[in-house]
Amino acid sequence: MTTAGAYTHPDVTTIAGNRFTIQGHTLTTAVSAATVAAAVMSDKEVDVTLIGDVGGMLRFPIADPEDFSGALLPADLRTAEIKLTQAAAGGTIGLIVEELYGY
Amino acid sequence: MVRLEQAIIMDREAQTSDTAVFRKNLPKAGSYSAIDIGIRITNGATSAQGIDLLDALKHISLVMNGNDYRIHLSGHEFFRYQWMKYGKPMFYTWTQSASGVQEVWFRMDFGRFLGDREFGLDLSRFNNVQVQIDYDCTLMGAAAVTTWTSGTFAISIIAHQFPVGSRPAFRGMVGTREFYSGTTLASGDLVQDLPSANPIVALGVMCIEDAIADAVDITDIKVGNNSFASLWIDGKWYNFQRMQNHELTVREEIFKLFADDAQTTDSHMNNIRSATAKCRAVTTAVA
Repeated sequence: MTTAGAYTHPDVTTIAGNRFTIQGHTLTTAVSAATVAAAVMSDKEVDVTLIGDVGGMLRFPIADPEDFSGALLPADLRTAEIKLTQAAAGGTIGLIVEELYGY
Repeated sequence: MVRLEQAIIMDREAQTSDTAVFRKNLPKAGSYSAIDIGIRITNGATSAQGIDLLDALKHISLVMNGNDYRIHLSGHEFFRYQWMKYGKPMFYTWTQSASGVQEVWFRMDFGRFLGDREFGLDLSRFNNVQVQIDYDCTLMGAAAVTTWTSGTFAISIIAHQFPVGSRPAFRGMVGTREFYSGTTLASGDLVQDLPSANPIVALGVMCIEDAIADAVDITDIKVGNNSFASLWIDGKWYNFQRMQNHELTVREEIFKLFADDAQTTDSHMNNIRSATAKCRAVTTAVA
């Protein structure tokens, strides 16, 4: 692909408190795919934004968060187990409980 | 509602050792609703490519009377579990910039909310209460100008406490701890007993592996008793993940890379729908 189109790139040049400053840069030089591929980026600061799911964590609320009713009690837990079906090796597992301790 | 006080127990105290179990005894008396813990480290003078401060935090714990771990979570577990619980991540400045300072915060909450007068930490009930931070900065690589700076691991501890004149009579406290850790196998079921000494109000399951989609290593989760004759939780990881992430307020992660071509970065997100990268300093020619 070859293009001679102008491409304007905004660049945040400074951040001071709640104020940030933008500088536009217009790239007008005709480029080809080969030229782009050869442009190596090295040690550049890059802001990244990802949108998705929280990775690798599930949380199952059991009790009512307002009054803790419905919590699993020691009598229920005497034979309680969790079973995970594994399908691939190498995942780091952590099993977590949120417990109520009485005084 | 009584206004809580924020007691500064430690303020960015740099640790001389890069690998240690940090221990801080808490006062003998006091009524805490929560404790906030802040961790900082300074990047190398050139960069900190591939550095994630959570990797260095082996465990953050609250230990009663020497051996009763009521909070005990790794950095990755703590960060992700809190995100799922509160719907948003705690403060985390994740940067790989030259001489940048990475900083992450965790909250040990002992009640249902800040200021809960029924559930909280009553220090006078214990002979000793200690915050422990088991850390190893070398898990992020050796100290270097391209990684992190030795002697800059710093800790802050802030207690959200009830004023002396209005300490509540707590009924109990909430604790959150890892009760099993391990690595998945290629097949078969992993079955673990649940802790049974105290009522359980919530469960967490973490399974992370870089460059692997969620729901691949673990496909199904069951929780029940009597050899699963009674089932409380039964379903697919991918369905639970969609339901639970739907409830979150924040489903994005923002950070700063110090990047090369074809650089890979392992984030704290999965099922990524959108990824955008914007240069801080524009270079229009070959660097």
